[in-house]
Amino acid sequence: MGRHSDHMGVRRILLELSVGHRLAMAGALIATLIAVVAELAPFAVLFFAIEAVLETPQASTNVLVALAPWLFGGIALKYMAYGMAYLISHHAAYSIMMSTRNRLVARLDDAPLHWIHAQGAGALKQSVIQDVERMEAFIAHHTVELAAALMAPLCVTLALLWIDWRLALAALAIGPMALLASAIAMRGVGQNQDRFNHETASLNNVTVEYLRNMPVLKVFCRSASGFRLLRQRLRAYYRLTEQITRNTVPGWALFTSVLGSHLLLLLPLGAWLHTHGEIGIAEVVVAVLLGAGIFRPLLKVGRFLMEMPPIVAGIKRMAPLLALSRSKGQARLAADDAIRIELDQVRFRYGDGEVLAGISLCLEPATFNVLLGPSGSGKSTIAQLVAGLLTPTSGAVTANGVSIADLDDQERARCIALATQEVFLFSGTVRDNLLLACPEASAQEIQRAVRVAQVEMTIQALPLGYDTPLNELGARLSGGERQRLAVARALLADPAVLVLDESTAFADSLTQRAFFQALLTEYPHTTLLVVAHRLYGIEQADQILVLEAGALQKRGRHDHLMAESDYYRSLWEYEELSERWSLGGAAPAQEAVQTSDGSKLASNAMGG
Amino acid sequence: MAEVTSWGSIRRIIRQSGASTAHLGFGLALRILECCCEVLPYLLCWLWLGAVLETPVAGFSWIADPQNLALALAGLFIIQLGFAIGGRKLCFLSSYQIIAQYRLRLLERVRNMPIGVLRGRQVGHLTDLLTDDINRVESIFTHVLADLIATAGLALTTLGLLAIIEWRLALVLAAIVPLAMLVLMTSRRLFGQAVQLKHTRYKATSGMLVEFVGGLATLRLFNRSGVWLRKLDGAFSELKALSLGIETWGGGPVMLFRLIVESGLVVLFLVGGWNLLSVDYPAMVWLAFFLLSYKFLGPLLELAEYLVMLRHACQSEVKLNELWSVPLLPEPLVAKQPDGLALHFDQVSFSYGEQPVLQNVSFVVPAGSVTAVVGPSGAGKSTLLHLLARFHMPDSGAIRIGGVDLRDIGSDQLYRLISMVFQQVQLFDGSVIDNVRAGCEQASDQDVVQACKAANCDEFVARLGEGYRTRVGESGSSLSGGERQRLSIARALLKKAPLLLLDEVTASLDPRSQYAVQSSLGQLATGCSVIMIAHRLGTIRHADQILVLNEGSVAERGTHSELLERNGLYTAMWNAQLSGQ
Repeated sequence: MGRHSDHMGVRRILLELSVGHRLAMAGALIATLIAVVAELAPFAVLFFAIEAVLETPQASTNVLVALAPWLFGGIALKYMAYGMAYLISHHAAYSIMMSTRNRLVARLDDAPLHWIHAQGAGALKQSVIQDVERMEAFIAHHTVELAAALMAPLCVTLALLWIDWRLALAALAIGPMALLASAIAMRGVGQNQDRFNHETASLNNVTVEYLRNMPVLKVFCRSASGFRLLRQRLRAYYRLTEQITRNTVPGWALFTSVLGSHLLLLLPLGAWLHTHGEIGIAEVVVAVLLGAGIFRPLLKVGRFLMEMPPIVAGIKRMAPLLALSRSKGQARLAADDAIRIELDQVRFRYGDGEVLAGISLCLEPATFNVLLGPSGSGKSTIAQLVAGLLTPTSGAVTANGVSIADLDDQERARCIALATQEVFLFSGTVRDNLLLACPEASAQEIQRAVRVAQVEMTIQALPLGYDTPLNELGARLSGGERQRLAVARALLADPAVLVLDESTAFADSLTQRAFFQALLTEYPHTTLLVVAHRLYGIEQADQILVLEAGALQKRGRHDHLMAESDYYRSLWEYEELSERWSLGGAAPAQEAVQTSDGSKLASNAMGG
Repeated sequence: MAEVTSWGSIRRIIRQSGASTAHLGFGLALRILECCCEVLPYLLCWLWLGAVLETPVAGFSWIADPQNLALALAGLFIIQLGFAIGGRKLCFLSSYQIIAQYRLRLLERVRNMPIGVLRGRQVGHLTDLLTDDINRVESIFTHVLADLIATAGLALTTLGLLAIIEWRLALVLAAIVPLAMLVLMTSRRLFGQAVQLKHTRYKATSGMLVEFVGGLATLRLFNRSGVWLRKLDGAFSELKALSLGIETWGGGPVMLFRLIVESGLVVLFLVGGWNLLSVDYPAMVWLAFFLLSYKFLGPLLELAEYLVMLRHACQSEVKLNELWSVPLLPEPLVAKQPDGLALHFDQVSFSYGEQPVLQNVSFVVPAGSVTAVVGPSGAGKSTLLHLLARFHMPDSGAIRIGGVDLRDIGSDQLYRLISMVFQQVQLFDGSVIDNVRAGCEQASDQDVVQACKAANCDEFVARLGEGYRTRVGESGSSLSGGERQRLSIARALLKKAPLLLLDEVTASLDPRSQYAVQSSLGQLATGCSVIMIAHRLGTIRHADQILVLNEGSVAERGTHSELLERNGLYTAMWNAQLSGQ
């Protein structure tokens, strides 16, 4: 995926995205050409007007009236043509932007989750929303303006040539001078731009960091030093802007002045030619007026060059996303079979680290399985492999012998559900969120699920019950309540296999016990894989798997592990200790607590 | 959003920055002079015409010689270049200076706002304001304003020259401009509405996309991403329609404006042609208008574009101005010393927007005692702690420490007195040792390590790649929830503040971490006044006082055994936690 995107140039992306709109863009360019030609009309009219005025000032009045419609016609045609050009180009631009966004989100849907995670929601939003929005300036404005800026000098030159070739040359002579001036003006521009961008980015970063950390800094009386850092960055930024201003202004001023100095050669030459009787007054005046339009449009090219880099950068950012693809599985399972999940020699690497080093295990239909282990031992990875959110680096994760990765999306969703510690609730009501997986669930089914998930009371206590919107309120549900809601959501999907990843954040040992009891009673046919934090209730598990550093250390029932595993036993001891703890209460032991796994914790010096 | 008036915005920025505008004014004057130099070659051309047509303007007959003409033009060019360099330099430098001051003052202000403004999802909004919007405001001064004024100056100078030559025709040429302005003005409302409409949808779509990305795992799991893709596609096509609406109301009137302005020339032809003013003008007058009209009309055509750019940037200023109007935390001129550490909530009420959160809450925490706060979610428990930490200000009532109102104690002194440990631990980018040292800047490395040991951090810090020098925080290595919490406890330990606020610290940890955090908490709480939010009632059964909060008010208060005897809400909660068995 990455290798391929490197070769996908910005131009190719733009070409690919503009398929189907190229005809429209051509139309916009033709309209621009018409506008540019129409722009010459006022000069022709002025030419005739001058001739008339010079001949007989008194008789000229009729000529002026006769010329007025032509003048207005030329002006009106120009603006109509420009209007048409912009209309077409904007239509094309917004259509291209829409289809680009459609493609980007479709790719997002295909992207591997860990890739999305690494990018972050903010960066992806930037790509799909802001970066695409930036394309508008290029497609709708720059194309028309650039075309006009390049065609206008050409037309003016032709008109000048028609008047007198020497005048045309005099006007064009500004070109090399401007080029020279721009070479001076552009000296170090790239470097300055890089430094400026870098300084802007670091100022923004420091600002973001400052705002994010302010609560901590303030509470710990460090806000002054945080502010000092920000002020330093601010000062550095403005020092750089001053430096750049001083370096670039003279060159830039020279460039614009030269571009505006078209009369410098043209007028004296015109005067000289007139003195020698080679051309008339009207020719000189019209040449003077036309000369103004020869290089001015090039200023727009300069602006285009300034505005282009961020647009190009945005398109580059889209490239890896556009290059993503996923082969969707097609396999289905026999409808009535009980589902047996098997992991066979599963390895999983993430970056350089090996997360799972050859795991083999089996989840029999309708059994209660528990995964235990210290943080970082790979529990969540197993949960996500079983749920089909990850695919193993090697080895196989199968349901009734079919690789889970090969399952059709709908089939996988029917068979397996996962609830994790990181709960995502969508904006909408409590009911909308519960019914995500199963929009047709009956009232009884809902009630059963929320009762089992121990979230019934919470929902009842909400101001509108099931119809309470979660968008503002979402934040006001506690972490545990959100997790229990997610468990209820997964239960409503009524899957054959339910994976709960540290989602059993129940208030205490007792609620957790109640949860497992209810789960086993109400959903007896569901295969459970529970990654547990707290131990209460897991005594009744059919299989407890103790994971350490990506490998299975021990497996068995509670009694077996109590006898065999020091780690397992120590967990229970800690569980006991913390259950008895209370702030201000007597410490369970005044000295350092020595537990079965041989580690020490500092004395609980509570002085009760 | 408030009505955007560009001049109002510019005046506000200058006032709020407190910077001097003398340099900017001087720079702008130079830019206008530069523009005048741009008209003069055409005037020279006209004078030359006078000389060769044998109706020379007094004192300008020398100009008939092309050589003299060339010299005059070259001289003008050099003068213009001088004005251009000087004017631009002054404008840029003084603009950056003004905005630098503006930024600094605004950031200083943000620093003194209640922290509540800076928490949660508002941080993102604030970040946008203080990076993107402020950069846009900067561009008003650095890129738009000077060009706008120079362009307007050029148009006015030319019109002035024409008026001197023949004021009646100058008036005719300019007569149509008000009509063009009228088009821009009347379209402004519609344009503003279209922009507003799109802006709203744009933000909503943005939010929808973030939601989609955030919930993608869940959506895939339940095979629901197709529904969302369709929803997003619908939003994108709506954006397309709204964007075209903006172009219609933004681009269309500008085109019309230009058409009308340029038609001034047609009016001139007609008025002159029909001889409506009943005056016969000499050829020289007509030539002046033919030569100079476009130097008046041209800048006006550009002006519309600058005005649109200016208005666009001023919308950012309006948003920033809302930030300026956020009230600051009142700080005392001289901080009063609290007499003792007893804490007193006196009839405190607070509402979040329209929604009341706390109503007439009163209680006392004697120095050195432990107070627990319990209650259903949404009862206002966290808000209680946030008010005490001055994240928000109470709407009414008072919070006192040692008999002195928080407003008189002042933030600096208050934060020396309190320490907090939150459920959501905030670590900043930096090493472990930096993060803990935040508790006490003067602490030596040894003190920091000591605090980490006492908070049971030593063991997991040793496992990190670079020990205490390992970077943590947003971009740092990943720590588990329990580990992050223990670091924040170490930070609080180092601070040794006499008032300790704990917010559901041990909510969901594995047994080992949980016990480690608990024993560190024990260390931390020794000798402090403690206010602790808990939902596992077992952990607070030995508290000196338990407050039961319900729907924003204190429903019950007492020790564990007193409350059980009352047989009220607390008893119900206690039984609910027991009844699971």
